[in-house]
Amino acid sequence: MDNIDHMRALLHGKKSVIEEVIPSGQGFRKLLYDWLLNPNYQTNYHKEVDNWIGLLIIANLFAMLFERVPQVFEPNKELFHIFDVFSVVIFTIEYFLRFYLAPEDEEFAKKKMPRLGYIFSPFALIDFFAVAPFYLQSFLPIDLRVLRFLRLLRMLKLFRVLLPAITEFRALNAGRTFRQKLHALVFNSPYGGAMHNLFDNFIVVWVVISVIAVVFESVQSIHYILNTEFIILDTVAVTIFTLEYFMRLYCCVEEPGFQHFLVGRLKQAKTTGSIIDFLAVLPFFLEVFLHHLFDLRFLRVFRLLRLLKLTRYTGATATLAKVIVREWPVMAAAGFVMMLLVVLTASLGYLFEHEAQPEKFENIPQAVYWAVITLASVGYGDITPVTPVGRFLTIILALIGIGIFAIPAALLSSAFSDQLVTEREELKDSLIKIIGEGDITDEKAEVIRAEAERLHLTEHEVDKLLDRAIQERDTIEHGAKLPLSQIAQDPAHAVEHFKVLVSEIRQLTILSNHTQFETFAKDNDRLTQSELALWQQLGSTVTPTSASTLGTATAPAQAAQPHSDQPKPEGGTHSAS
Amino acid sequence: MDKPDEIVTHKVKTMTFSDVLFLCFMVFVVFAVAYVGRLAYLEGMKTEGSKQNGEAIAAWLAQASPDRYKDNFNPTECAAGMLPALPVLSMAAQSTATSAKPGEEAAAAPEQSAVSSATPSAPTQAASASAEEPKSADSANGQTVARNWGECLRYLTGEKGPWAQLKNPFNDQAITFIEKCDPTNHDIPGFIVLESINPTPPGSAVPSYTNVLASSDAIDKKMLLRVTICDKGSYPIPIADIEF
Repeated sequence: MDNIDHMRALLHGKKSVIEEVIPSGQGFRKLLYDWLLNPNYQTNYHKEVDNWIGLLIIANLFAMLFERVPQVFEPNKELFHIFDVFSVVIFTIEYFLRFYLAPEDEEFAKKKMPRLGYIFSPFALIDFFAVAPFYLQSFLPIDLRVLRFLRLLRMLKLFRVLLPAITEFRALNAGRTFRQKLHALVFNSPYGGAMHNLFDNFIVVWVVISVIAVVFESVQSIHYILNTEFIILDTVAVTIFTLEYFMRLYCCVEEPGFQHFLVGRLKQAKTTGSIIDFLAVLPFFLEVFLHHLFDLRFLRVFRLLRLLKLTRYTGATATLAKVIVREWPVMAAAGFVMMLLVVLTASLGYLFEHEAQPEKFENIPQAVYWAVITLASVGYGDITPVTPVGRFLTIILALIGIGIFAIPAALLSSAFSDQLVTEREELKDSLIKIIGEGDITDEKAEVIRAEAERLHLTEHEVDKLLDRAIQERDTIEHGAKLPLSQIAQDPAHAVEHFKVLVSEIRQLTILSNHTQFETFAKDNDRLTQSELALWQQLGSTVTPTSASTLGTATAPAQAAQPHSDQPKPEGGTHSAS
Repeated sequence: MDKPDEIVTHKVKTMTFSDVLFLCFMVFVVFAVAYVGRLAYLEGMKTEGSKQNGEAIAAWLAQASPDRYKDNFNPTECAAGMLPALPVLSMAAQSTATSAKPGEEAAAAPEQSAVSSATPSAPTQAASASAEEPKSADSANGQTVARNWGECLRYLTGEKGPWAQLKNPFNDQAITFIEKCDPTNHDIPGFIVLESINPTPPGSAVPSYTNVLASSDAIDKKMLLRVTICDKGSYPIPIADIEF
């Protein structure tokens, strides 16, 4: 497989090239195993299978929780049952698929009876017990509570994802201290591996759950039914976020720049991420202890700040922050002009309208509201000028407002676009560097993929970027050539350059199919008579001696046709390979 | 990020004293948050208790609704029938401008409410509602007046009433009816608001408006009631709209 194609395949990490990555010509069972379950291939579907099964397990957990709420369960019994059947069907298919493919699995392939080995393996037993109660209830009357408890066994299926990650994490952190291990788990580091990703995902899932809970708490009918469930959920979420906060604070001293045991931790506590983490848990404690001082509804909505925790896992906000910092002086100037205009407008509005509408333009601060609504082209219409001068002023202000208020938006938009271009250029540089190295590792491909995802690049755009990187790499490699105008000034240099060009044409004559070349050139009028004559002349003068002057590049071609002084007139393809 | 080339092979003390301290602290954090969570849960259960009070009130009103128009409905205080008017009442109704005797003003006042003014210093317990209500019937003049809400409420929250056992979980006292839930007032969690829902005239922007149910409000006709309780933050939680 071509190296660039291989790179492309790794960069996409997609299944369109799966047949290129997985060796073909093997049996269906092996192919199916490689395609769906083989963890040794980075670009097959095994991660997707694991992820979807994991999601289904989590959905099952939530279904089990909601089954305990009669107000939710009773009206939707049918749906719950359908979901349960669907889950069991999927889990059963997975079980039998693994059973069928067990002989292809490295773990069981060496055993005498691979499928029997699979049946008694810990994961298979977990898989079995995850679905067995469902079938068992068809034959035996099982108490509903026992059945629900047995269904909890489905959670154990998550260990299929967790255990390999733990094993990898232990291997990566062998001999490291507890704090270093904690750092590897919590912070982005080369020691984190899949376990760090799982930790991040775990936090993200809880942030999302927590935010959804806050949103649904505002729905009276839902909050009425699930009040205590929301409290329990919030307590669990706050426990997780508080532990995460202290874990970060404890092991941050392993981060470069945070090494001092006290100053480093204070520095960490002052980072934006830590402040967000702190604010995410604060309302929970305030609500319990200081609810008589604060408005409870405000504290509940304040919990939505947890959404900001996700900024740690996305680069979009970092890009926006960079843009704002970069454009700050211009934005500040635009803000100043806006403020000036608002005050001026409010003052003039008050001046002209106060007498006509004293209740609406009572004073300048009240008129500021009208000024902002007018300048921002919002125009609610609750306050409108009635005097002719006031209306004339409004026309002028509305026209000015369109321009002035659009400045910061345009600035931000343009700067954001610039920043994205800059970051794409950086990504392209990385690609050029990787291409220059000749091969791409899975880790580097993963980094590039993540960066491409952050920059919202499609597969097609990544391809184009890769092509541009290849072109630029080639240009850099052959960029030693001077411009023709400079070469022409020096006769010696010009002669040498001419020789190089002639040599390249000769190479072309050797490597090309003469008949096809000439037919194409004549049929399509691509070459003039003199150009064709030159081509034929140069082609006919290729001799072993002259070919040797072409440099090393022609040597293999010459070697391929050692007895041919001239290219064959009928023009067979002269392979240079 | 590149993986480090160096692999530590020598034996390192992986667990230090500070690590153990940190782990102890983490355990403490778990217990502390769990304890705070339990406090929040208990507070939540108080709100649940208040909701159950509201549901009990709504259930009784809904259950009584179809029967109270029948004869021999018990309690008679909440029946829909008319009562013979007391002389003082009819007098007061005929002429409020004429010289009223002491003690009659209250009975004649149209807006005498069975609910408190929502001030903690003077929470009007439903049980002590309007002592000025008619206590006996005098059929001498042949006039009748409708039974009113105050009389019904006094029975319901009285010793033998069905709501006598209802306690406000936030203060463990008898349930209290107030005019409205006010988030700025932190002394009214668990209090109950009973409002009548009245239709607006055709063409109005809103289909209905609510009024606090006053003790003098007549209950002889069907009425739509809304039961609301105040939660921990003194925000209203609507329980149910019932036809009574």
